[in-house]
Amino acid sequence: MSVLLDVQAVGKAFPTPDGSSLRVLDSISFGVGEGEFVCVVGPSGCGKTTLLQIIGGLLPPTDGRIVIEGKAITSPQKQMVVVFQQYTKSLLPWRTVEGNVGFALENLPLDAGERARRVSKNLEAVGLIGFERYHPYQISGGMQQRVAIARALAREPQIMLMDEPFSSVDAMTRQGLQDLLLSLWREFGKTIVFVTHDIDEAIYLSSSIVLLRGRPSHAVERFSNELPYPREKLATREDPRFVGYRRHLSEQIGSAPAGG
Amino acid sequence: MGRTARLRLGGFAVLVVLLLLWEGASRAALVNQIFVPPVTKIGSELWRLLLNGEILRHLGASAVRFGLGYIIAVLLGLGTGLLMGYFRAGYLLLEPLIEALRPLPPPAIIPMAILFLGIENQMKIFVIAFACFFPVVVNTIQGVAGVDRVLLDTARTFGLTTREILWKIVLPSASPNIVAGMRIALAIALILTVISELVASNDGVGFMILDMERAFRIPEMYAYIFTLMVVGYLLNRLFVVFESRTLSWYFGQSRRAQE
Repeated sequence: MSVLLDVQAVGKAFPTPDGSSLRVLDSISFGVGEGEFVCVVGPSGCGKTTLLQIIGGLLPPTDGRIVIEGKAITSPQKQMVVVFQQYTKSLLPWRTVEGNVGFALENLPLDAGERARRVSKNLEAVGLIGFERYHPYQISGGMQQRVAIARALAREPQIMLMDEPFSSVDAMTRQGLQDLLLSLWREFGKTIVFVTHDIDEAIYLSSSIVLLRGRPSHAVERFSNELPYPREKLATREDPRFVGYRRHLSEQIGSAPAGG
Repeated sequence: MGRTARLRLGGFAVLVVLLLLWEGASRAALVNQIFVPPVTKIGSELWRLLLNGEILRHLGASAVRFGLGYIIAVLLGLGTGLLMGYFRAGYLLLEPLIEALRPLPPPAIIPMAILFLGIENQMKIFVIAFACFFPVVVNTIQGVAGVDRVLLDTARTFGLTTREILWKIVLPSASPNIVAGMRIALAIALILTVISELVASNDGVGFMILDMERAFRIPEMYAYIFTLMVVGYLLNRLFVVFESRTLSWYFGQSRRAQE
């Protein structure tokens, strides 16, 4: 499998109010192959969101670089889209559901027919047919996040970067969204980098896991997730391998040295 | 009939009773009839001036000044506000100027405006635009500053250019504040239209109020004051319609948030 996205020795430090600087990420390196579903797991506050923003070209790294298909990037790229954690804030509240999905296509060289086709195709993919004319405030949180996913898919990116996209919805909705995302991933064959602090979620979704730990965070390990697809909400979680990964990751994260 | 409907009707009744008291007091000569003519007399003057086109002619003259001044102020205020709210350099460069001019009561610039622009429409439009500019600018800056970080990142991840971000994200996102500024400016525009016409004019509703008073045609003076009242009321109603159309998403969202 060829490496599509390469995170090379990425580090990030932020200035602090007292004039010094706080290092949150240190020398993080990992590669993501075409079609992989990589989950980056780490404790809350370990800089996962920062890392994803750097990968997405939204934030410059202090050290290191992001390389896509052999080319170092410094700004958001056409073949890559970020799905944000705060769906309520990332949808355009003045636009309807279909207007929000169409938003992703307005600066692509597509004719009106192709645009409309992509909007309805992706709304159908996330199960939102019939809600085209609703505004975000008129639908539930889970549906709003599905709009955000449809919007990202409509752009037909090679890579989707997802920042804890399901952490603000209730548990039942989350399960549904996870299954939806898995089926979309298998159907459309995207490469996904998915950041989460939820170990179960990471194991359930990923084909490969990167574990971040420490202060500043660094990638302590990367391993393939051998659980077979398609995954199923009960059977997969009862698989001994699932239980094993879970124990391992919990121990790894739990044994992180206390912050400082 | 529900309580609200009854009270609303009561509110109209208060107005009607006061007008009747006015009428009665004037007819019974409890007040000086020359200074306070009966409402019916004012009404018949109003009707006569409507029929002979006098009111419309002066309303037209005022509307041109009001409209142009207001539109210029909104466009300039919006542009400047976006520039100052979105670009740090724009803010730092223009903020002292805006803050220096803003505390000035706008009528204070009328004499200077007459000096440079004469007493015709140019001067009045300038004064109206000057006065209306500030509430639009200040509210626009506030609205732009409140645009959510996540929304801007969303725009960037979809590769929008700065111009597209301003047009498609910042402007609509700031629109509740912008519209609030436009509403304040609307009232100010009416005030400055009248003041500028009182100071120097030979037509317009403001001018006629003063002119009729000087000519001692008191019922006509009241007729023009009533005209302004109605115009102010209608403008406000019109603005409410505009507001609810442009901001329906925003009102829907706020209602939902309160539930």
